[in-house]
Amino acid sequence: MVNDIRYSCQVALPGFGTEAQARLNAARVLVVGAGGLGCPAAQYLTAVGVGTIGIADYDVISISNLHRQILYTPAEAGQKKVTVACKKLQQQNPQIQLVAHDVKITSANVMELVGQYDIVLDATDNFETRYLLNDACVLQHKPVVYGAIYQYEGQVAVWNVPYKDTYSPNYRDVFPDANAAQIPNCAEGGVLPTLAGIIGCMQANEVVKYITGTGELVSGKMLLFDALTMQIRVVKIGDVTRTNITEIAATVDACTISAQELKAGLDDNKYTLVDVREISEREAYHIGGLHIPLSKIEHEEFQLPVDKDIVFYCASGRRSAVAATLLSGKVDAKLFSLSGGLKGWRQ
Amino acid sequence: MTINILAFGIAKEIVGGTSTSADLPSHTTVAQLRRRLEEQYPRLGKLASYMIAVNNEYAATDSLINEQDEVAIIPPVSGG
Repeated sequence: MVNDIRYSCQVALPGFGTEAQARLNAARVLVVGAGGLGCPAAQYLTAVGVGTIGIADYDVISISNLHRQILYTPAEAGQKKVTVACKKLQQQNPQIQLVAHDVKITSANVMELVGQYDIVLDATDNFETRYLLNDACVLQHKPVVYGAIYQYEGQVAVWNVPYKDTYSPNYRDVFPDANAAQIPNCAEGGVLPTLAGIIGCMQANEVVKYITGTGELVSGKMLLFDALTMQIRVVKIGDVTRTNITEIAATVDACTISAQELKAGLDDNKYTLVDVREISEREAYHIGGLHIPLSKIEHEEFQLPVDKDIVFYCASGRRSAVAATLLSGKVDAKLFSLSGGLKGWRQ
Repeated sequence: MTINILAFGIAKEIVGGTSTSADLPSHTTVAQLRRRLEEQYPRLGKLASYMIAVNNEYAATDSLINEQDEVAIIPPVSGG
């Protein structure tokens, strides 16, 4: 049932009406990532009355998330984001259905997950998941509302929208591939919290427009937003995709180790630690071991002792996972990535 | 001809500011510009992919660059 009073101010919009509201109510949207982009996006999709919202995330809340991940409080640090987010969103709108997906998205589960929804909002923080979502949506003929942020800049686009007898461009039309070792994420490069809010809201805006058939989507183009100058630039990509995606590329997962396991193992002298952060980060704080920045690991300019298992660490666990994956099979020792990075270690 | 090139995302860090410039022969293609930029800024070549936009439009590798064009380097961004 659609509560008329709750939605009256949007139903009153020209070109919206009760029919658009009914479409929202019948829609199923998957929000992947309950972080800086996912929090505001999911809050607006909840408020606007999207009937079913899936939230996929496997991370826990940490104190350094709170400046931009506005669904969470300090008291909830250490709890699963997806559990806390779904609980709060349900309170915000008891009329909708929220579905928690406490999973890491991989090549093995992405098709099944995406298959349950009409449209995907990509609020992830890593390239691997972005490509998985993009490719799964292309294969299942579903649109992806893409958003990404770095420092003061954001990107927004709607990929894979039906266009004549084909589809609009997707992520791979613009960026066929990305080198995760070369591009920092929010934990490493920093991010303005209000930018996350702005870009997350833009994504929710595009989802609402897509479902209700209102206005003109950012499809066939990519929007760039600069929070420092408040300039918006819309770059035209083209009307149709030129890619030919036929399958999901298999994902390789680095073996991870928790901070707790690592602490216990270090006491028994079981591991060689390798800090893969930049020197400035290491100078500020480190937990010992060797120092080989990810850029050097990528170019194999290093020597590693192989007498013990090796644990790579960084700020968040992202760069260390890249390092462990890059060297998988190339080093004669068992390789691990410290899950949650130093952020998790210090909690 | 001297072309002003705007930099976005990690490209700002790579070129050392919000823009850079390049002296190019006339009839330069986007592919030639990419090669030129990657020689000058080797880190750009390591990104695996980045978009070159000319006058706010995605520029294919064989497009020609003209003197008055506004060129932008737009790398992928991962954060969320």
